[in-house]
Parts: sequence; C-alpha cells; structure tokens
Amino acid sequence: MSARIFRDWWSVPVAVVIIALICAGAWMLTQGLTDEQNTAESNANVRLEEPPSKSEVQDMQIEALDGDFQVPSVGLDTGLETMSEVNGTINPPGLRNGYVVRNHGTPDHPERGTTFVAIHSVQGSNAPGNKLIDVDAGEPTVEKGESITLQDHSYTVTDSYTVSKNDISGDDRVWADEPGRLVILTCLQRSSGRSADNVVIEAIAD
Amino acid sequence: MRHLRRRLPVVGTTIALIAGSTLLSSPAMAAPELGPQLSAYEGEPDFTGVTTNPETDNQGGVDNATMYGAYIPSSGVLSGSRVWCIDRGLTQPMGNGYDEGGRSSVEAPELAYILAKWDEPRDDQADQMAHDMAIGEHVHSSDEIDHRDILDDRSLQEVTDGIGWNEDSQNLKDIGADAFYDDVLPKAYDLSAVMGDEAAKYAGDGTYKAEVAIDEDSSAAVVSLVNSEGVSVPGFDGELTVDGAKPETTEITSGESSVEVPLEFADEVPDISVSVTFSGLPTGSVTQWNPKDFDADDYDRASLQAVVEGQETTAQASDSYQGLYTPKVSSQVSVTEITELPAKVTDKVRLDHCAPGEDIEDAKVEVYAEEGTITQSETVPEDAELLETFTPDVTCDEDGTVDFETDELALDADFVKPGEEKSVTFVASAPASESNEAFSHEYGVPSETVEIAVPEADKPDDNPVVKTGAYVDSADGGPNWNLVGGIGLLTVAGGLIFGALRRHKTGS
Repeated sequence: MSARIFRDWWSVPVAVVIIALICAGAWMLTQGLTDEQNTAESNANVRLEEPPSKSEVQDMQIEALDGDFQVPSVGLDTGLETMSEVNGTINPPGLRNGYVVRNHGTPDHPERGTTFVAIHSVQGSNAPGNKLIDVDAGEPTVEKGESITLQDHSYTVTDSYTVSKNDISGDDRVWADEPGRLVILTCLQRSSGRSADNVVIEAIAD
Repeated sequence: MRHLRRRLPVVGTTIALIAGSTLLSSPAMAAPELGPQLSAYEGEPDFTGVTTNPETDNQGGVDNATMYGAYIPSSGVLSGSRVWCIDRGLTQPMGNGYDEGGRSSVEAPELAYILAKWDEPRDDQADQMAHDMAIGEHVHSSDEIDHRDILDDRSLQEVTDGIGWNEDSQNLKDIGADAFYDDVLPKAYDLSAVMGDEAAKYAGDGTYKAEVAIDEDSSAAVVSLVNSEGVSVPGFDGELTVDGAKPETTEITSGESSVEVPLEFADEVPDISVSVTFSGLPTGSVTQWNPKDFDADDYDRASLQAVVEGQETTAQASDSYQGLYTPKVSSQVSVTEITELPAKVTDKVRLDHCAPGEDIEDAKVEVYAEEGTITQSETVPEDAELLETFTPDVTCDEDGTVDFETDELALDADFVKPGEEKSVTFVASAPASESNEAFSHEYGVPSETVEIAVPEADKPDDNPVVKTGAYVDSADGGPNWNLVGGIGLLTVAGGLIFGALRRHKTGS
C-alpha cells in the first residue's frame, strides 16, 4: 500500500495545477464572452460609413429638440435633435437620435410643408434606426397605416420604400414639400458590406 | 316820532333833583363819580344811550328811569369797560361800587352772542346810539340772567309809545331830537329785532367751532364758523395763516355758508398748511358784576344796579395738504430687434418727478407678447399674452428721480419660429401711494418694445444625399485576450487530465 502511494506522488500537484488551470481558464473565458457581448451592444466601436469632418459637424448647428420620436409598431422610441444639411449631404453626427433637417422642407411649420427626419442604422448592431429596417428581407419594417409621433404631432404612414443611395437626391417623390408631410430617412443595412440603399418612410399628419 | 316827543314833555330840572336825591341815598354815595344819568346832564361821556323819562317812568311813586345804553366807568375794577345795567329802577352804577368779590360768570348763550357780536367800542354816540339802545333792550329783557327790577320791563317801542324818552339827556341833545326820533329810534327797533333773531338762530348752546379745509381741486381754503348745532355763524372776523401758498386774503369774515379763500400754490407739488383763528367770539356766558350792597336784605331803588359785560374767546382750526408727486415714466429695452433665439432682454426704467426718498410701492413691470408687431395703446389689448411680471423694489432718490432695471427676460429658442414675427413689450406701472400718484406707461411704447423675427434657414437648391449608414468596427478593439487565454488554459487543463489518466492506467 505504501509503495503504491509513493509511486503516485505526482498526482497531487498535478491535480492542483489542473484545478488552477480550470479556474483561471473559466474566469478568462467568462470575461472574454462578456467583453464580446458588451462590444456587440455598445456603440464604442460603431463607425459612420462616411463620418463628417469636424467643420461639417459645426456647420450642422446641432441643437436638441423637445419631444420624442416614436414609431410604436416597431418599438422605436428615441430623442430628437435638429441639424442642417451640409455640402449636399444629410449625415447625422449621432447614432441614437432622430435628426430633423432644418434646411429642407418646412420643419418650423409642419402643417405647411414636409418635415424630414434622418436616423442612422448600424450594420451588426441594434441602434434605434435599425428598428425601421428588415435586413434579411431588405425592406422597411414600417407599413402603411401605422402611426408615428414626432414631438407633439401625430402622423399616419402612407408609404415606405427603398431608394438607391445614388438616386435619392434626384427622386422627387422623396423631396416633395407638401403640407403636413413627414419623411423618415435611414439606410437599409445588409448582412455584409456597406449599405447601398436608403429607406424612405412617408407619413401624413393626422 | 315827533308826536311822541311833544306828548312826553321833559323836565330836566326835576330829573336832576331826582338823580341827586337818589345818589345821596345810594350805598355808593361815597364815591365821587356820577352815574350816567347825571353825567348826561353834565356832559360826561360815560353813558352811550338815552334813558326813559324819569318823570313818567316812576312806578311806585318814586322817580327814576331805565338806562338804554352802555355805561363806561372811569374808576374802579370796571374802569374803561363797557357794562350794561340789568336792574331796572335801581340806582345807576358807579365805578367804585364794584369789586372782584361781586364778579361771576353767568351762562347766557343768546345774551353772550348779542354782546360779542354787537357790543363794541363806540365813540360817536350820535351815529351809533341805536346799537347800544338795542343791546340795552336785550340786556334788560334777557331771561338768561336774574334781574332785581323795580320798574317794569319794556321794549324800546313800548317806551316810545308810553312813558317816552328823557329829552334833557345830553346824548339826545348832541344828536338832536329830530335825528333821535327819525333815525336813531327806528334803527334801534330794527337792530333789536335783528339781534334777537340772530341770537335765536346762531347762539345754540354757546359753543362755537372754527373749521377749515383745503380743497385741492379748487385750490382754496374753505373756512367756516359753526355753532353747537352745526349752523354756520356769520359776521365774525377771522385771520388766515397759510404756509406753502399765497392766499387771496388773510382777513375773512364768517358767512352763512363756508367761505372760500383762493390759494395760489407755491410749489408744483403743494405742501400746504392753513390755520384760521376767529376772535371776538362769544363764550356762551356773560360776566356779571354785582355791587357791593348786592346782598342787602332790604335793597330798594337806592341800591346800586348789577351790571354785565360780554366775554370773548377765540376758535382755531387748521388743515394741511400734501400734494402727490406725479411720476413720469420713461424706459428703454436692452435690444429692440432680435433675429436669433434664444435671447435675453432687460428693460431700464426711469422715473422722474417722484417723491424724494419715498418707496414706489408695488411697482411692477409687466411683459406682454403679441404675434406680429405691437401698436401703442393706452390699455393692454385682450389678445396680448402676459409673459412675465417683474416686481422690483424701487425707492425714489433725493433728486426726485430713480432708475431701475428689470431682471432678464429669457426668450427660448422656440419663442418665435423662423419666418414668423412676434413682439414683446414692457409696461411699467405702480398704484398710487401716500406721496405718489399712480402711473402706468402705455402699452407698446416703441422704446419698450422688442420685435423678434428669426429668418428661415437658407435652403439648398439641390436635394441632398442621405448617409445614414454605420457599422461595428470589429478590428478596432484588437484580440479578445480573455477569450483566447480562457480557451487556452482550459485546453491545457484538459491535456493534463488526459495525460494523468493515461499514466495512471499505464502504471497500474
């Protein structure tokens, strides 16, 4: 009996090492998975496809707006800011809020013309704007007849469609300035690669 | 009247004898002074009226007469005073027949009124005899004082129509019998009636009150003298003393209604005090002087008459008026046009002509807003929206001016939408206070009005592109070393377990 114990002396330290390795490995694995999860959920590593320059952001004259931007049918509920189109481009500097475009349409008098709201969607993330798009289907999630609330105004969706990013500036359907009209603009994300189309959601004031 | 004079013959020598015998029997006979009846015969001016005919006014068989006039003793405690005999038929007074022990005050409102109003020094017996004869009639007839009359009480008219007047009187001779009967007596009748009417109307309980009030609207002092019943008592002289204004006159006479004395205010904001003093007013009582033999048990017509004299007093009243300052308001907003919001505005207000050193109580500056432009008006339009009310503490400086500024009025970014126009205006006001009149600036005064017009943003000619895409930059964070290390350690641990188990099997 004593000879056998003497022969297996190494099993104790090996067991200790194994337990230590298992504990350390399990802890690091947990931490690693948590990091992966946090990275996926945060915007820390989110990048605009074409980030504006510092001077362009300054020229956008970003200001906070009172009230909410809500599309209840898809669970969108976020804040609002206002911005100006700069250099022929609507490119909101933030990822979460909707941006009322100051110098297109008639945003100061919604009852007199069209109010344009732009919001980012993020590939591989769950930004608020992503609620407006169905990546797999390649189409908007919002359908005709659904409700939208912008500040203290209520709208009803009249149409939603996609337009190629290359064509949107020339699409008069999008830019028509009509009384009580609301147009929400975002990008249609793809499973991979940069977005090629914009999503356009049209609504009319109730 | 002539027939009366003829019907009542005068026997001067008889009167002189009667007067002389009376004087001898008088308790005051030791006095060297002669009474009024004698003095009239001897030309002494110590009696102002005329007596009845002593030959016919002799009830009881003893000649005497009744005095209708004032007696002015030339000696004793009453020296120089005008006193009035009250006991018909007793011996005429003599100055030395009285002392302070016989003095008393007797409440007699109407008689006091008559004496105060009508009894005044008269050196011209001819013209003014009627006054004193009328007063004498009221003194004799007054039921407010006690009399020890031996002769009957008679009115002037009764004397004239009955026993007649002593035409040997020096006073009557001085003015002449024609003037006496044609002028003096009728005037005395009239004056007596006037005195009686006035006394009944104005004497009241014998108290009088001066009143004065400043009427700022008519710029006048309103003065009156009233009796105990509030009736204005006319005919008494008063003197007005005024500070802070120039009166049209300082000498006034009370009237049957208030007397207005125009005042010329010295200052733009008047600070005036007025007082009035009426003098020579009746006290409601007369002073009665009883002769030294007054208490004799067996007084008779040889006893000296008691006399009365008037009492006078004054009444004073005052009033003051402090005019109100009339603040003039002017102001200037910090900016009159705003094209960018948010913005802040203040209003600097200046008051001129406010009461130096006084608080402007409840001063406020209200701020109103209207769509478009504001038109100046006296009142605030109904559709104006009250934005803010500032309530600054304001105290007028010693120079009668004050400047103050409101807190900042914050106009939010959405106060006016681009492309629209809105205006706000400040209205400074305060209610009337102790020293300042109310003031209020008009609504929409240009210097207090701000026009806010934010231009719409310039719109590009071309439609924009929309860049609303983003992505997760997975390379940006580097390897996940925790994940790699954890997998590695667990792999090594698995290898060790596997090796140990193999060795254990091999060994056994």
